[in-house]
Amino acid sequence: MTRNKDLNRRDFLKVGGTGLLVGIYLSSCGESPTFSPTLAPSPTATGTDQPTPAPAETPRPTPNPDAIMEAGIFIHVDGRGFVTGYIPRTELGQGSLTAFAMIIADELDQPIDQVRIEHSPLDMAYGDLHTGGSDSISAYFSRLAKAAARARALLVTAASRIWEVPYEACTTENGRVMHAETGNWFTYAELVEPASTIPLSDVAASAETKNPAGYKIIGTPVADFDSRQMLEGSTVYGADFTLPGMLYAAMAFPPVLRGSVVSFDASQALKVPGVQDAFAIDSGVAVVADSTWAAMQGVEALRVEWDPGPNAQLNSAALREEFLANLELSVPADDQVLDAVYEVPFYAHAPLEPMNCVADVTNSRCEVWAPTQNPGLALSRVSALTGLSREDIQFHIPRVGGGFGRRLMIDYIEQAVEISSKAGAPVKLTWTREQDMQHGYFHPLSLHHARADLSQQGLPRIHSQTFQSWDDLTYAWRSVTNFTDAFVRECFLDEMAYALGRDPSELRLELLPERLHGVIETVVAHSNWGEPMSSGSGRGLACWSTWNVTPVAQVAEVSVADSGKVRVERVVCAIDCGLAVNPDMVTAQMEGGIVWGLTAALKGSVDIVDGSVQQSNFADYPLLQIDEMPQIEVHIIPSDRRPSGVGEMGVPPAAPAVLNAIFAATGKRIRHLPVRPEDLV
Amino acid sequence: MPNTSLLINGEMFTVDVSPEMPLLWVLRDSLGLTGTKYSCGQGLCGSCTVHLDGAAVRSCITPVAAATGKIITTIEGLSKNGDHPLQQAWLAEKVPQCGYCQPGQLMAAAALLSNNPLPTDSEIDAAMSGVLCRCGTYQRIRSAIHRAASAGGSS
Repeated sequence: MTRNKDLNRRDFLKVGGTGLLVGIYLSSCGESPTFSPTLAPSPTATGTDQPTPAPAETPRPTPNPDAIMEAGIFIHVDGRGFVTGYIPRTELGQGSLTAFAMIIADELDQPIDQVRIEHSPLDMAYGDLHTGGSDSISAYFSRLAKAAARARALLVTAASRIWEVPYEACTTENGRVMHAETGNWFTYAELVEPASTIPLSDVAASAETKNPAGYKIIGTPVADFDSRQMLEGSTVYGADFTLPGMLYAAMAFPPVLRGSVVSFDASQALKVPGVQDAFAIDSGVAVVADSTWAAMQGVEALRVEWDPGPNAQLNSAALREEFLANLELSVPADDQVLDAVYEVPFYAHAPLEPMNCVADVTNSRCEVWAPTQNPGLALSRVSALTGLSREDIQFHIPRVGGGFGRRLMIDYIEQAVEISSKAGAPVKLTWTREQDMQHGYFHPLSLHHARADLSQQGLPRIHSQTFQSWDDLTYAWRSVTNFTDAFVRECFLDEMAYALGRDPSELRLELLPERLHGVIETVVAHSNWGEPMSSGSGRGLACWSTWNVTPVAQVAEVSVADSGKVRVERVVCAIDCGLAVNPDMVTAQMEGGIVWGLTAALKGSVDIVDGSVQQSNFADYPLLQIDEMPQIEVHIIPSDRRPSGVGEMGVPPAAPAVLNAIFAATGKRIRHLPVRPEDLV
Repeated sequence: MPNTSLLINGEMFTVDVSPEMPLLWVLRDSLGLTGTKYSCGQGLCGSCTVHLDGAAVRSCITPVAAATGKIITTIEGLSKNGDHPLQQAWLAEKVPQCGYCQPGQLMAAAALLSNNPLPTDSEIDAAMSGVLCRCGTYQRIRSAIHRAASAGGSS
């Protein structure tokens, strides 16, 4: 493999403009687009539909590689026939950028390997400037389809005017406009310059999006565009980015959450070979050095006096007691009333790429390479922090090694900017895993009292006590409140079903809205539901419509060993996400969401004692491993409905499905997370 | 600090670092070989897996001194053109989501196949269970290892 010294800079291509950004090159186009301006796009794989060369007398425009045809703000076609989509979304592994390219390529009849997606400028004209809520495809499907249809219409109009034939007589295929009657054709590259002078208003009437029956790419399984680079190790994540003259930074954080520095002694730290400086910043003490390792060694050698701040008395155990008291549990009036209390702990996000950021701040400008889900917020905060105007701040957003909501918060970006500013040099700040685990924004601890009157038909009443520190100690964690709400309702519906002697799937069909019925019926049909299982094994069902947009149901099959160890053998999942733009990515997101939910059900959680997070790394905050992985089977309900989100939607049903299966296997109701082997012996 | 010579992906490098510096940071910060990832720093997640004389090791807890005189292979040197049978199988199974752990997954799987060209599920579990993926791509990783193995994937 060849490595180029300025690969990093080029992979983080600047788009220019204000407060702007960066791109993510798609692997299929290599390190940069290198298409010859005179080459037509390659024919389709079959090779049978290669157009006949146009008659010699047809005047051909000369492609101008510098020309740009703008079909509105979202899509540009350049003079090499290459299409770029500008969309304010970050690729975190959810596959949205590949799906965006699929939508554009399909509507534009463009080969998909000649479409790339870059982050848009940080301008609200492009839409919300954050990636969250599983809304990327639902928010951009129609906008991109319409923009691509306009781009296509501009190219067709240009060709029809050159040929002096009716617009309707022209068709598009594989990066070309064709005129069937004469056999004439032009590549998009040839048409970009003439098309760039046509006002969009000229094509407003003619630009029509495809009928779904005409889709060629949408609805087919497409691998993530960055796959090759990821598998070769050449993808440049934020953690991998470097600048000339850059220093490596690490930080000491207060042991108590959100504490602050009183004083520090860096004398030993400065003796560590490679350490250049140490100084306090708003949220801790920073050490800068000539390598990440030296900086981390320097942090170890710091002596810091901390002010614990307002969280010194914070204890998960005490919160639990307080919430239990607040739930005001009363003795049920009669035996027709079913009661249960459920508990959810704090959880950490633990993406495998720890928090990091590269910043280069001078008196007059600031450039930031930030793996973030929230560049709009980051730009505002960096502007406030530096006193620089938004126009003097440039953001670059790489592919990110896992977000899950953690990177909606921008603490680590502010820190890198502050450190660069104080160091007077570009810096890369890298958090340790321990810091990532202990200083994040956690899923909140909560307790819930569910009650149902079994003599009346209806859903249970649920009273909740949730730790309130949104934006400070807690924040969005993949599926957010849906995780908790689904856990409580779906476990309790199972309890109600058993108390009533009803099949849990039938009770759900009776009590839950009709939009959930299709996914419930699908998992019941594919999971051997109701069939006998061996002793110590059981099946459990749960369903949820995350953000009220995408119904998902799951049946988990578990076996429980005498030791109390739970093994999830199989999960059958059904999802109704409307049109599945990239069905393989939908399946992958269900697999990932289920693993996320199983990890929450069976593996690590966060305990806070006197304001300090007790867990620190994967030894005490374990993740699900490959040897614990169930067989997962995903059924996508066929639909032409407009696409709805999938990124978080696999998560909420997984934990309640497993807990309901544990009950079916053992007769034991576990009402807290995570389940420990000692709960089942 | 003494100069340290390292044979990485068939090429000899000399670095001026302290002998206890983990190989991970020498690869990443001194040599720009950033395909090897930092994630836990304690040998708990496998994102930093490289080969020393063909054996999978956690470079985050391997002092650079322990790598001198050994043949070091990183993800950048797993194949010349990204076409190792495991890389091809990973692509065919559409394994990566965020992709951050995948270089470590591939290096661990390559060491497995070089010792055991046709591993069973439980042998895959034993070799791969310490390599973590937060996106949850394990089912596809297993399929991809089987796919590469049946294609004669240890080369």
